Amino acid sequence: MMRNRILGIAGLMIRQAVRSRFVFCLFVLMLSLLVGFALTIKGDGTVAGRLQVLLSYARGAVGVVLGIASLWLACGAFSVEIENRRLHLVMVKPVRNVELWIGKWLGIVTVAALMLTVAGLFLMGAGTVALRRTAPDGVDGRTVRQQILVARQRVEAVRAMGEAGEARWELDCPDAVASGASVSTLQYRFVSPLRDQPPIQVHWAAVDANGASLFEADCEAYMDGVNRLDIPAESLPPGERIALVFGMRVNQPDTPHHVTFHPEYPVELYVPTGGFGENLLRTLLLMFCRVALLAALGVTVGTVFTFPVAVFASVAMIMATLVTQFFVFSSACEPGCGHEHHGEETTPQWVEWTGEHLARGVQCVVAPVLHYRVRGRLAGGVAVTWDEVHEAAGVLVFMYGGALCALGCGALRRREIALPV
Amino acid sequence: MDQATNSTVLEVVQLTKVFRDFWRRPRVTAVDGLDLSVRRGEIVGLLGPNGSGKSTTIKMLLGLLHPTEGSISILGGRPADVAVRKRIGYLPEDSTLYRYLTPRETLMFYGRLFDLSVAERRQRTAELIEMTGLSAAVDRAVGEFSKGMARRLGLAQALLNAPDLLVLDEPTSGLDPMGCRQVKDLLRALADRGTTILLTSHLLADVEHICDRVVIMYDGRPRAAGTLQNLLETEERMTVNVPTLDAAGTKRLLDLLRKELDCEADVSRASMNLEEFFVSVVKEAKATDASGHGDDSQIAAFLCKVRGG
Repeated sequence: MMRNRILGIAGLMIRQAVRSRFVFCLFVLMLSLLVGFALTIKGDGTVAGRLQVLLSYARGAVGVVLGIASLWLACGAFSVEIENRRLHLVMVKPVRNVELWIGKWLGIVTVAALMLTVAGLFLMGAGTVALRRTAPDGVDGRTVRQQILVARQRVEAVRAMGEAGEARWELDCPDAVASGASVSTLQYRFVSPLRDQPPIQVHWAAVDANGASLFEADCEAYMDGVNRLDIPAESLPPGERIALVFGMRVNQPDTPHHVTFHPEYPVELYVPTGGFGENLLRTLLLMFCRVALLAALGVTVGTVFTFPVAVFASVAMIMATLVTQFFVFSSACEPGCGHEHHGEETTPQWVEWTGEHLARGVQCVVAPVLHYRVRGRLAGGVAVTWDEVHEAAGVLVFMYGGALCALGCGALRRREIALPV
Repeated sequence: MDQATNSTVLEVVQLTKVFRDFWRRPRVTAVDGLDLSVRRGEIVGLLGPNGSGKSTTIKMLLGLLHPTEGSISILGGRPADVAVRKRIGYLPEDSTLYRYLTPRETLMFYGRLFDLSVAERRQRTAELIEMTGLSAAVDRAVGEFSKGMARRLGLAQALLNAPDLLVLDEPTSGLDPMGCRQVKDLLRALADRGTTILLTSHLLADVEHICDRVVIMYDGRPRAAGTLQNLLETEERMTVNVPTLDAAGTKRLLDLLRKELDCEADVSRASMNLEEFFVSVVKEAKATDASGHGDDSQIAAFLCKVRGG
């Protein structure tokens, strides 16, 4: 019975969004953006570069447009109906506040899911076109297949003690490697003040726990920029710990005798664990969780404020969430952190303490919201895992969405719907 | 359910509503100490000029506003109870319906909120659309409706659940005289079948025709209450109805009254009021030209089905 009413309210929300041409406008806007990107992006002139930029921009733009649209629709779900008194007729019917809230939210996220599906089909199409336009054995084609249209698990290597003259890292290989995957990619960077230097000769080896050699290669590496080395996928034993050993070949007089690995860019191994389609699906689901949270925020804020105020308040909350990390950074001042006061102006200690702890408290609340991001992973062929999607659904949709639902229902119960706005 | 609950559908004690400003300072007292009791099957009218507190009272009864003081017992529960809301039909002052929906979709949607089965919803929707004379506009968006048509649809949604208590805010506002008459006939018929009706109206003639009791409010307080007969009866004069007499007969009657009773009397021709005249003309016209308006037989058919009457 409860489900029946919720679906009824959700259906009404969808119908309104469709008939008010909201969905049509959103569809046209999104399609224009996607097609516009596809036609105008040049990248570095290669199919791989173009595809990478397209995936990155298109995903970002779809996320922003859908986020704004869902928030807009959600803010009006209650506030507009309270203002034009349509909600009166619904509130006097045997409907619980929670059913009303969930129904409205469900309608909005269904519209968002529809739009995400459209975007997903477009991106899938872009991937298919890129595959058709490149030969599998060409450089461009290999990049497209091995680094973009793939889901690779990123494994960060941990520095370990090595023998004299060698650098050693350890890492655990993923349990499953995608069937048909040919190569994993080792990625690393050096720290160097020198620019545009000729490449140096380096040696990489992979050994298992018993010291048996799995892979060895001599290659060139650049002092500036990102270095990549392809490792045959079958060389890495799934689920086992391996060590990566680095050495230098000093064969030219002006070649440096030692290098320093970049501390902020660790040695990473990218192991293919799945295809692009699945990764795109998981990426879209992660985006959906974020949009669903935005919709929940908008619906709840709309139960308290009028439409313009609700939009403003929601945007302000999102901005506050995004800048919280800077507050925490600027409020934290440990001895020796380099931010000590040197002037005469001092803030009372309790004010600093309160400010810092307040900022940390707020960060505890908002940090999970900021945690589940896609960033450049889809374009970089890095896997978004199912675990991450499940966690995002649990945290963003059920935990935070549930808390917002409770707040919204509480506001509806306390609010006098028929009060003049 | 005890006898008191059976007979008393609505009990309001010392109901007060004070509207406050942003700083919680009292701004206006919209309803001030209202006592009201409505029994099953009664039609009670809340009358009063604009701003007298009628609509505020109704909104408090429905849980859309919270009383500042006083208590409300409606159908044996609180206005916020879902079980209570299941038995209430409400027609607001403005028919604030979803403008993108058609009448059929509107009724199907509200029917879903009442947990009616699909078959039940379809049947009642069809009956109510027929009864309210909206058959010709069944696929038009409500946003295109005239005020009168929206009012008819508003009334239809209020009757969707065959309510025990019908709360109507200005039910005949925006309707043409035929529509007014149909609504009044419908309300009377519903009350005869046990539905309790609480309504507000500015149109005193409407109230006079259908209400059993009225409460006249002014400035938030009830100023007069009782049955129409008690309130309207004057003690100084009486009316005697006789068949139309010729001039000689009239003179004899007046002489008789003056001589036998020693009182001043006068005679005038009985006349219909304008509404009765209008209805008779339209009925005559209808006999030759069918319009989209529902008729009494449709109302009766609907009532028989939903209330088993």
